[in-house]
Amino acid sequence: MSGIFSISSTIKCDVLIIGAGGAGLRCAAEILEKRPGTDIVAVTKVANPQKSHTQTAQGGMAAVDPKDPVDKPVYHMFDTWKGSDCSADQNVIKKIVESGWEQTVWMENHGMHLSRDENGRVSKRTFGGHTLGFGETSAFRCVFEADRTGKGIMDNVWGEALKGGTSFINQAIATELLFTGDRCTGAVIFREKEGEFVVVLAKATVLATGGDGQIFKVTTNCRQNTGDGLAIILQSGLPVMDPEAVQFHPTGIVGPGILASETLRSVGGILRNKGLEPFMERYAPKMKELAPRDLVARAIETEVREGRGILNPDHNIEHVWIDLRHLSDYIHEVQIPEVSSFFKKFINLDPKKDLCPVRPSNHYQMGGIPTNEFGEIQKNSESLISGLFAVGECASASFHGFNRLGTNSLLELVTMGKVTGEKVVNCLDAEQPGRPKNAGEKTFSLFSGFMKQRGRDNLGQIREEMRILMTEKVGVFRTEEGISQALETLKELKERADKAALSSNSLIMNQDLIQRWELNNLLVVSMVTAQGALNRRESRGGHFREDFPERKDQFNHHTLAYMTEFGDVKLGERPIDMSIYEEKGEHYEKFGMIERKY
Amino acid sequence: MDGGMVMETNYKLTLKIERYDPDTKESWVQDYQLEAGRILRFTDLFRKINNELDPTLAWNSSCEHAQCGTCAVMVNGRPLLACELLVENAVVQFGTTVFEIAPITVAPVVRDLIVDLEQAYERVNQAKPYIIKPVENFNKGNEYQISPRDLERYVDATRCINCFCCATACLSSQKTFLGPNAVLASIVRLMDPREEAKKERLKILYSEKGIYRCHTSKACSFVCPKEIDVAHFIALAKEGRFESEEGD
Amino acid sequence: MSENLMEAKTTSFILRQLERVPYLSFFAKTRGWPFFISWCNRIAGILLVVWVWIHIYFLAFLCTPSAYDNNMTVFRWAIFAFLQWLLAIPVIFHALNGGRLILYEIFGKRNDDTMLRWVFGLSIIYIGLVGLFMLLGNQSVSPFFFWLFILVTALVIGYGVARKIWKSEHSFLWKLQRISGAFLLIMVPAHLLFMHLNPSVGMEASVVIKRMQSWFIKAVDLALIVAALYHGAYGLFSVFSEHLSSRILRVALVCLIAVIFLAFAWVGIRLTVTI
Ligand SMILES: Cc1cc2nc3c(=O)[nH]c(=O)nc-3n(C[C@H](O)[C@H](O)[C@H](O)COP(=O)(O)OP(=O)(O)OC[C@H]3O[C@@H](n4cnc5c(N)ncnc54)[C@H](O)[C@@H]3O)c2cc1C
Ligand code: HEM
Ligand code: HEM
Ligand code: SF4
Ligand code: F3S
Ligand code: FES
Repeated sequence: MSGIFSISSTIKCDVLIIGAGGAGLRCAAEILEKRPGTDIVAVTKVANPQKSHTQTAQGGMAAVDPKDPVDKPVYHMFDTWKGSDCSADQNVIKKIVESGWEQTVWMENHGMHLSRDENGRVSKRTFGGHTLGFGETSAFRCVFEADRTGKGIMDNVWGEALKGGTSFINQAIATELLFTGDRCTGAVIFREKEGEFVVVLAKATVLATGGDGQIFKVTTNCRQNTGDGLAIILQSGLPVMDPEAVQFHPTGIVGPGILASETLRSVGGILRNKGLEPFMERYAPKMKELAPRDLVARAIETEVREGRGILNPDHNIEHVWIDLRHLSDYIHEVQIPEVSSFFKKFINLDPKKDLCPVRPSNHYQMGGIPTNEFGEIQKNSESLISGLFAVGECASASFHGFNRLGTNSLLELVTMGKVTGEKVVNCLDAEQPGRPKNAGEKTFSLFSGFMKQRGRDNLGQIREEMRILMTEKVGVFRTEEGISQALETLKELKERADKAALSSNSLIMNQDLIQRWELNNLLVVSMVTAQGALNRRESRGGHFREDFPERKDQFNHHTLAYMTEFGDVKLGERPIDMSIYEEKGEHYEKFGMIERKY
Repeated sequence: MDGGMVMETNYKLTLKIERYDPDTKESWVQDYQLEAGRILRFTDLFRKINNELDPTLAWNSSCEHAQCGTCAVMVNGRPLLACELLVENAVVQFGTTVFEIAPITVAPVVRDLIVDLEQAYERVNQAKPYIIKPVENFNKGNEYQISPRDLERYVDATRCINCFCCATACLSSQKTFLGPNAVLASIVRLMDPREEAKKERLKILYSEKGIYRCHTSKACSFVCPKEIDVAHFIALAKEGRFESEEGD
Repeated sequence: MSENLMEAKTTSFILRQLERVPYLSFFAKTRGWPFFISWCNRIAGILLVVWVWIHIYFLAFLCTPSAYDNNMTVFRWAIFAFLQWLLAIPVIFHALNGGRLILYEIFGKRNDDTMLRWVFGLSIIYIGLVGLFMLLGNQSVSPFFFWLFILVTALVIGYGVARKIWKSEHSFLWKLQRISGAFLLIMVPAHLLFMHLNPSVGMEASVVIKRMQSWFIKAVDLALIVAALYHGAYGLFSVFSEHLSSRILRVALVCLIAVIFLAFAWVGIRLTVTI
């Protein structure tokens, strides 16, 4: 076996960025701006950075314009804090919110095509959860590029990174981080197209591998979001934070999982079950369809669980209907044309005439690799690991706590990307590290392990079973019993996977091999997610325990989870930063452990 | 139960997929017979093949909802996004249940349906998809003021996702032409009032690899999944629109 | 997109019929009609280049009128007469479509569906007209007035295009090709039509030579040959260079094309001037 497993070359550079999505490349752009000529290598799993998940974000990015006569950063901070169910870190909230506008202007000045108002200024719109005067009225705080804000950001930072001379390694996966003592010195990269393993040595390494949505069956996330970054971190003995904090969007289009925006409900769409009963009346007699996201998601899941869902034979997913047939043509054509077109395009239904299938869809991972407010990765709640950074969805600083507000993620990418970039620049005077002796060992033993197996199990099947399991047991609803079952089944699935043979042992663009590796990561991330969820005997933000439906003060902390052996999860804690509250400045009382009621 | 009934229809499909094995350098066409519901997308079909028939079939995708341009393939000769082609629509559009599927032709095939997009992107990179040199912003610390009407003139061109469908369909050869999408990337910045380096951009445009290689065959506009009228933007360049703009 | 895919992008009745033809329907569904038409344009352009070469070769016999007449008898056979009539197809198609391209690219006329319909319609009328003239076989027109009118129109159109693109940073050669195209748009169809006003106009050496003694007709012919050869040479270069990515091969191609076309130009021009 060792024949095909060798490091074919070693690349030395200043900065290695693993994950060339919005966050990773914003960071690259910042480094190149501060120190032109810095030698950056950016790795991405997809065919080109532009194919990253950031590309698909639609809604917009929150930022408080200092010229705005009514909006203030403190309102945005409050909304974020409240939205997070009092579990975000206030130092991070302050930092990100306060630099929001500056970053928007940076984006614009570097060529993002933000939509304009009549005066030629960047225009703004409202978005759920964003308010003025601590919840009084809606705020116009979201800047956007039509319905493709993420694409605007992606194109922009990719362009800037390209212009600055970043070298890209596309269609490649980082499989292992390299350390010399307590310092990260680079990573092992597997180039899929060439079937080669290379070592990249860097003075600083930035992880920006994005989300892990693929652990769920129904997800709005892209195919590559398999939580690789988290798995590599865990494999290196480092923790991940709040893995149980997962956001579900109540209405994903069944099948493709594409987001069907809240507007559908706000313009009068009605949710119906198998018997066509408008069931929201039972769950929220007053607010009905307009109840908060998590409540609606739970109502839909209950209907499905209690056998009032409809099975979609094409995608094999149970769902409920959203009924838009009674809405006027005007609403269809003027108010919801885009979402309407999604139904048409991806499931061939005419919302004017047909019922449309929806189901809560996994949307976002609030937790991730724990970092401080500069994107530096933490070893535990006190100390840092040097030369290693994390930004974007894979990182958790934590700006979102247990529930993210729409439009806050893109804001986090660009601001934390910048902040981290500045920090990275500081470690570039360090000496170029040498190549650790054992570089690649972990990867090779993993890969050769995959290739040795001769079992006849179907890997694709195992992955689907795992994703269905996670959706059912560790999804919108969680119970002690369900999660425990899930933990058991995950172990079984892992065992089955470990015996299954690959369809081919080729190294060149072997999709089966890559998916096998991803399955490993999915199982690892699922495991810590389930453990985190089991341990948190309360409900908070996106994490809902049916058996403990209230938030509890004893859990006012972040979860840290370590796992070097599969199944052997060790848990720790990190306190929630309450610096705004503690500083006792103006409005500080809004930043205590307040109730999350809308 | 209405609505539910329509969903039951199944199609018996034959996919004839062009395959290539980089290890043996062999290529062949493989037939897959499968039954699929009406609203499965072609990416779902590929996944179904992987999970049920043949895990070795390699194909590429990312977002799977027509936003990233990774999944472009040729279906019965037409370049399109596999993730937005529903079985039912394909049957109607092509009038058959037999589909010949081949990789797009913009770069060498790596394996099966996966091409080396990195090489294809090389041409986009040559067109410099960014602002080369920003004009001075007199409103330091603020956004540039761009009227919505100015933006309107080129906003469509900014929607390109570099799926290379247009480049695959284009009459002109891939070898010597940057390609419709690369040219488009440069035109966006020519029309963008924030770009100072217009001369450099015109040079790219009027180079041997630039718009002279376009013969207004308009296949680009015809196949573009984002419905961008690429030919129109290229024609603006031929018209000499951008120089006159610089003049005044 | 799905809906869009399904609805044919053209509404014209003729096109819809054509879309039923097996081979054509492939193009119609996968690339669109303009793509198909671009291929036709290219093939027509290359055919015309070949025709001009043959044409100049045969015209060279005018130095010995009997040989010319001898050759021409062949062209009076029904089959060759028919082929001559067929020549009207690439001529008018390439001319009108070239005109459409110039309007599209340079004058911003982007309503292609309408223009394509005009191209089809006018082509058929023109081809029919040529055939009709050939069958009727004796119109009489004063060459001087005919060509005066044609030349002025062609020059005006050529000038219009020149003015529009002159200031752009396009390469000089490209500009010349478009200008010559616009000039030929009037000249070539008129030339073809003229030659069929009655059979002797182009077929009898004595008639031809007599006409060509006029300095004005000489000038018209010179303009025609220079424009046609230049336009064709650049066209060929543009077609072939698309498939040559190496610089050296490209330079070789330019040289080869230049030599061939200069040779034909020399023969043609010398004939026109000396006759
Ligand atoms: C449908 C949808 C709509 C959204 N809309 C909004 C919105 O309106 N506003 C908002 O604020 N947020 C929105 N979000 C969330 C937001 O888009 C994401 O959180 C954000 O884009 C994540 O960016 P990122 O840079 O961290 O990761 P990504 O963009 O996912 O990039 C990750 C990169 O890492 C690479 N990678 C992963 N693993 C590896 C590996 N092992 N080796 C090498 N490279 C690797 C990937 O290839 C990719 O390049 C939306 C999300 C979805 C799904
Ligand atoms: C009658 C009037 C004519 C007009 C209006 C005209 C116009 C044009 C135009 C606009 C083009 C560019 C098309 C493109 O970029 O693809 C072109 C190409 C070409 N023309 Fe003409 N032309 C005419 C006559 C001729 C003649 C007489 C010849 C032959 C000597 C000729 C040979 C060519 C060739 C070979 C090309 C290149 C085709 C290609 O690139 O695909 N044309 N013509
Ligand atoms: C079958 C129909 C044609 C006939 C019978 C014909 C006949 C002639 C004749 C007799 C001449 C001599 C000059 C004159 O009388 O003015 C001539 C010149 C010329 N013809 Fe044609 N022609 C035909 C079609 C064409 C076409 C389609 C083209 C263009 C593609 C063309 C291009 C030329 C050119 C460039 C000259 C000038 C040659 C010179 O000056 O040496 N002819 N033609
Ligand atoms: S122009 Fe259209 S077809 Fe071409 S790459 Fe862009 S999106 Fe794809
Ligand atoms: S298809 Fe090609 S030829 Fe021109 S108009 Fe489009 S680039
Ligand atoms: S996978 Fe992104 S466009 Fe199809």
